[in-house]
Amino acid sequence: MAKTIKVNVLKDSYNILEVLEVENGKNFRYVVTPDKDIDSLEGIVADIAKELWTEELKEAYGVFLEAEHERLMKQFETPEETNE
Amino acid sequence: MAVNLTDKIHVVRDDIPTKNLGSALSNSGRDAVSVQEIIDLVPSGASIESGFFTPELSLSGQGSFSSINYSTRWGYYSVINNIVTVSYSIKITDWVISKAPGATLIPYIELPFIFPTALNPNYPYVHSIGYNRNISQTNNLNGGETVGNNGTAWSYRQSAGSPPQQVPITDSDLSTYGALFLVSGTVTYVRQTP
Repeated sequence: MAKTIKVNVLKDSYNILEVLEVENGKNFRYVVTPDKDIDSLEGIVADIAKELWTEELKEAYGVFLEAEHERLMKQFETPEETNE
Repeated sequence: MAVNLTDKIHVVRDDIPTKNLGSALSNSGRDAVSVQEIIDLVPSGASIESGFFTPELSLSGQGSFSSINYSTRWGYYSVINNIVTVSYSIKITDWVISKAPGATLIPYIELPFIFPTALNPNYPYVHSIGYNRNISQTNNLNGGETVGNNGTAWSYRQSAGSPPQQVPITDSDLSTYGALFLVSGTVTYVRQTP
């Protein structure tokens, strides 16, 4: 049975792609984000990424990733205890 | 007799005799509907999907794996009405990390649906639990409770300090042990609708 591919474009989230591949009745899922190398993608997923991922979008997503990393680091921070 | 979706069924309103009275006027209140139209009246059940994904360890921050090799790697998900439950396990045999000088990196696993909390706070994170071993703090295992965009990360509980603090597992923790880094866990969250 041929593989079918369905792509959801998250327009409010940097055009991140949620991909569902169905082959022989089995579902396989993965997410493709704009920091991914488009040359590593194939078929319709690559076509959509080339069309939607502009340089401005990739740059904005990079800024978001940096902020997200800072958020992750700070998430563990515990306020220092004082004697007051 | 086989019943087809296009077959018609006569529906008779209350107080109208079931017997065909012969004329259109007399038969007022008697309608014919298809089997499909009756099926359409039944509320649909829960939307359910299940399947597989391949968990991939990535690094948050200014760096990435130049190479990484897995010995165990599986992931399974189910979605019921946009509630995603993901289970995963990976065991890594070796890796090479490249990073910017001084950068601290946090390992995380990408999930099969975007985890939307960072982008859209109205989508709640529900639950996450995980396990890791062979990081440098082997007596203070914890993990999986930290979820960022598109992935779940781990922390460990420091033995020093009062109260003990949770700190993220970083690339230096990974580098402490050159082989065998195992993580497994389950994450439940609300899927962002496209």
